[in-house]
Amino acid sequence: MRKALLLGDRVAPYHPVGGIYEVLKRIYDGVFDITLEENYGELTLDGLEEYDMVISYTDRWGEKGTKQAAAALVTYVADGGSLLVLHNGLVAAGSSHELALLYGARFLWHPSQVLIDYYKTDVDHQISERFEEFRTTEEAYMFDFDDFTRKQVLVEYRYANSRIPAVWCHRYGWGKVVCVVPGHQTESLHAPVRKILYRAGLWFLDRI
Amino acid sequence: MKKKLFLSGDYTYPLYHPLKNVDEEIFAILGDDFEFALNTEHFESLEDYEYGRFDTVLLYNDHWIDKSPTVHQQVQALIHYVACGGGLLVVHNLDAGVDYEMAQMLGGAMKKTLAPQNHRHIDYYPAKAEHPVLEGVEPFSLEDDLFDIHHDRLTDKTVLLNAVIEDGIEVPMAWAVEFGLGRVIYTAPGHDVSAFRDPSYRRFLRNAALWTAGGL
Repeated sequence: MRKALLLGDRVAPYHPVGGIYEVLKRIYDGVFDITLEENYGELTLDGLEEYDMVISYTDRWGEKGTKQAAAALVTYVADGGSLLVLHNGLVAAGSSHELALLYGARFLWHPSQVLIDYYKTDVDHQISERFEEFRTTEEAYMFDFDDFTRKQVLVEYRYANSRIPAVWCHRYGWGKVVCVVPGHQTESLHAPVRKILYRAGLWFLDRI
Repeated sequence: MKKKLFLSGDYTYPLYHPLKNVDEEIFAILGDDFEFALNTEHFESLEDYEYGRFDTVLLYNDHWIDKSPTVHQQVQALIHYVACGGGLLVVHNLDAGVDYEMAQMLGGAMKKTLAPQNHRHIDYYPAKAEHPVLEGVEPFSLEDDLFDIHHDRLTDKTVLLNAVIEDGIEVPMAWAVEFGLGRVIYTAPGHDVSAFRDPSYRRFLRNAALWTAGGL
């Protein structure tokens, strides 16, 4: 069994990790053993190196995040680690430019929850293979995307006549990053999203 | 105690910017504060762990593209080194072909050199920023290259030097980035040895090297 570290907050203003943690345990059952880390401001490279995947679902980065933790995540991935950023984990990139560069996007804002249609892009990738379009009520996250990141956008949604990336992936240094926007609550993790998360884990392990 | 500096540039096969002669000026500018722990044109041969020996790294290499089979390893090593608290000072040569992760950390990549090349008169002004690197730096003028740079909007930069080009447009010529626990400066002036002989730019380079090494 491989080891994964989930960064999140049991007590959180918007996105408590408890329910998501249970869903992630079911998704990765038999593949990853997931440990929850709430004290993520203290992350170090040494501490991260034992994990095969880090999942970021941080909801209090603005309060708990540190330069040291951002440096540890950047270095972990540059050295060959695998990082999955889910929904509110992306918000941390609004206050850390290191994370914005690592994720390939800076979070800007989101309107109230709206009905969103998610669909696969033309990009063929193992992670989004056989992805089925779906519709759900979600937060439409808005980003400033980095011009330099060599990312592949796998899933998109439409909002205000714009096509907005919802799932993207890229290599960073020797490592890999997957960003998944839908995930406001456990109900957001519809079957197609769970499949994306599962396949992202396999992609990290070079099993697909 | 002097800080340790790793200097790299091209002696044998420079494309446009030989380190020969420039190195002597750099030794003179930084010699009081730094020990030149390593001076090599084969910077790509360094392993990750070796960077830990240096307080800062000064790169004047102008043909990273030619080293592409190994440059990816080097980019990863430099990101690791800087994020963990290392210093990086890149002088003049902002490679267009460098890996994107490096361009992000440096805050941009070169698009092209604007004509007329090599001997363009440029007036440089310290930016209106409170920054230790600007201590004692006066406006100065050089005959140098003017680069068209693709800036990374997401990199948090403090602009240190500006130049005023045609139509009164002010463009950044040097900036500082705090990346993870480390410090990075890119500075554009330095096409040839004459730039390194300007007293104000010498002051700027000394401050810049010290700041990246955590010494200011």
